[in-house]
Amino acid sequence: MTSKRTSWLVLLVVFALIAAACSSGGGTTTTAAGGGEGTTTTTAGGGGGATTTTAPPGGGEEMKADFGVDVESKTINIGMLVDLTGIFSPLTTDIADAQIAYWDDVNANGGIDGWTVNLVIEDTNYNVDQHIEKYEKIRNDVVALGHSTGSPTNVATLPKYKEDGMLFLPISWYSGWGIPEFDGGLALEQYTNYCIEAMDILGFINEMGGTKVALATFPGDYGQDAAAGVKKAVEFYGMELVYDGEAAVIPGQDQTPVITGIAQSGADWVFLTTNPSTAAELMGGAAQAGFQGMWTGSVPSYDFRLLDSPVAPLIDQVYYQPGYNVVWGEDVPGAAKMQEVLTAAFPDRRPSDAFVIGWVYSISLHEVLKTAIANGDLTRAGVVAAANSLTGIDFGGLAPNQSYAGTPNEYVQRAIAMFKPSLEKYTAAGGADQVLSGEGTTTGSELVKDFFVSDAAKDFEYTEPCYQL
Amino acid sequence: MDAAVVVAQVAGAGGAEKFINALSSGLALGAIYAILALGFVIIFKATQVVNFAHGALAAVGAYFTVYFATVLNVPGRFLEFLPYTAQWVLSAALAVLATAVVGMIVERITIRPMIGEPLFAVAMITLGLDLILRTVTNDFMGNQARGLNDPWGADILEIGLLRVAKTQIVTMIVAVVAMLLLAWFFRSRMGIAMRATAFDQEAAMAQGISVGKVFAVAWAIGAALAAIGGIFSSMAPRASAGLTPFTALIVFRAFPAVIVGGLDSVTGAIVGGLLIGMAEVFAGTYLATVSWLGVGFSGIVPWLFMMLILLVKPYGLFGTEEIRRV
Repeated sequence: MTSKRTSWLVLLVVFALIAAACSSGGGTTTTAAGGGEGTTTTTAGGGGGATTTTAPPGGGEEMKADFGVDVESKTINIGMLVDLTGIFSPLTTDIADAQIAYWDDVNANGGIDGWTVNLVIEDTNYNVDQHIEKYEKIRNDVVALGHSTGSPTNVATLPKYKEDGMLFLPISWYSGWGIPEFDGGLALEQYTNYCIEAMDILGFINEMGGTKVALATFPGDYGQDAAAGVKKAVEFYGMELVYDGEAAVIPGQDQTPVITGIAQSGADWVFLTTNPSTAAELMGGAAQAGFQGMWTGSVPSYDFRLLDSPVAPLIDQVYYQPGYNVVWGEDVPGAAKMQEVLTAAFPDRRPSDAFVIGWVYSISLHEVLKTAIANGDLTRAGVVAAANSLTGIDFGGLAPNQSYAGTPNEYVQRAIAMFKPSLEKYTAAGGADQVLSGEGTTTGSELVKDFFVSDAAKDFEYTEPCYQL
Repeated sequence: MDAAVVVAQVAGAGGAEKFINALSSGLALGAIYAILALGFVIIFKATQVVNFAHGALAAVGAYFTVYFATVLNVPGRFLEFLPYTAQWVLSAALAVLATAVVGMIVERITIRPMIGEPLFAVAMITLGLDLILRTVTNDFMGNQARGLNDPWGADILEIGLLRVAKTQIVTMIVAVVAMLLLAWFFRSRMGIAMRATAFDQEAAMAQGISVGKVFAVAWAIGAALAAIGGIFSSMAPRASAGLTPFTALIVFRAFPAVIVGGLDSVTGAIVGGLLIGMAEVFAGTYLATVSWLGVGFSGIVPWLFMMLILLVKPYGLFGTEEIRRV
């Protein structure tokens, strides 16, 4: 009898859980529609939706809209598929928080011509299945994705983006995102890509007198896109690739083979495309094996918080860090506003270079939405058209200007800067105890070479992704 | 051809240095595996439970160390006259103790009510526990790698051809001490009670042994050993950034050590751990240049080794053979 009762109880709990899981709207923020009445006409739209052309309350220009835009309340819903808990979350959480602070500030100051931007945020855990699942959850509620973490995640979800004609800003610098034949013109890629970045870094190594390079990367479009760039540049500069660890670094596995490969290679420089904790593991292991060369790698391989780890002295001595944008604390015209807003939003948070990335991404999206509003077209197609018409987006010195009009070879960004982590600078500023509300906050990086384009990158004909999926 | 490549690495210039360093790294990794395997074996031996939550307990122990040593600075803040190394060791010891308490609580709440139930169901419970403990630990850990701030950092000791990380020397010393303490424990009154319970629970109860108490002590010791393994798995040079969500997964790499040694053998856990650690590091060191083996080959060597041993000795090198009447 007791057992039967327990079974019913279990069944009841299971049904309750299923019902809870199936209910919609969990974790999704929406903004209530404002009052007033507008004029609305409806026509058949693509992708199963309907395009409405509405005059906002109180008159004014007509606005075309389909998904994720409420013309009456002048609200634009933007999706954010963020890795908040996975292996890149230290980087992407800061990026997303900077985006949140940016849009809160814009909304508090009248929005974009009176339009409020509402972020719909979901955690994807840097997991392909979860990314697709979360996209499915929000796809009908948003007009574009202002943040979409990851290369494999975005590649896997690309067919659905294409189905919906969804503009997305990838937190991924795969060289396919600049090629319309690959991404359908839907990715609003920021900065340069892993492939061209690698060419620039090799150009820097060449200037520093390096001739023998060891390469160690994650498998897939992140690691192997950078590896393709390294190999092109090695050939361009007549260098020698003394250890080819393309796709050899598997996170969570024993890294002895890669460490041994690097230590035995005789390389004077090592190029990494990994995540920061794996980079630390490889550096620590190779140092133990007696390796004494210099180290560098793709932007996501380094995080300033490694200056809190046991390998901090090693990083201080041998690591050079590339940057798509300036680091936190750099004095450029666009930095003052960013620092003011972020300090007000997160006074007790540590400074982070990733805040700059989030801020730059937000400026780009801001320009897109401003153009779409000016065009009177906030449909998904209208937003994509606005994005692909932009030229010379100015980030106030935080990053090189960015364009999207023309051919990929014309508009691709080719510049990076090089920085040197300094443990002394970081420690003197307070190290891990720094908070944004403090004075002179820094992530410890010092500029050693301002934004530049290497000869290898300058001459590179960018017509297709460097690494083919 | 490939054999020649491997031989050339051993016999060629720098071959001796490479061999010595691979040996020291293999022994250090083997010591971690042995500690983890020991904890696993003790729980199995006393309770017959295959504890899939062992890796999660390792992560809990490492997290406690982070918390006590770097966040709270206890007991160091009350013992400032001590050198930093002593303060840190005390924090780590406190973390091991706290994990032992977690192990006892887990046993009391989830395992003891299942006494007499099918072992498969109990194993499934430990699988669920693994997910719960790992999720909770990851939540506390946050999204950053958490450094343990240990006093040895990434320092390396050079003695002739040998280059060994100080953390690896400490790992090996702690492993030896843990094994000696266990040997002493099994000769103590509680140790003898545990051996009796492992042999026959009903007979042990008939002799007045509190089987529940034995279970609790077994889980406490198992969890403490998992914590020690977790702490050393989160140190340089293997985990130079510190504790990450991957830390809990090391126990799956140690699992072949348990099987190779014999699921119910303490000696087997030690020998198996050292053999598997060395097999992994030597494969990584000498087979890295054999391209047709693939990049992840060193990761499967322990499992191939385990299969080979099981073909010859189905109960592992030191496991108790099950005798059945036919």
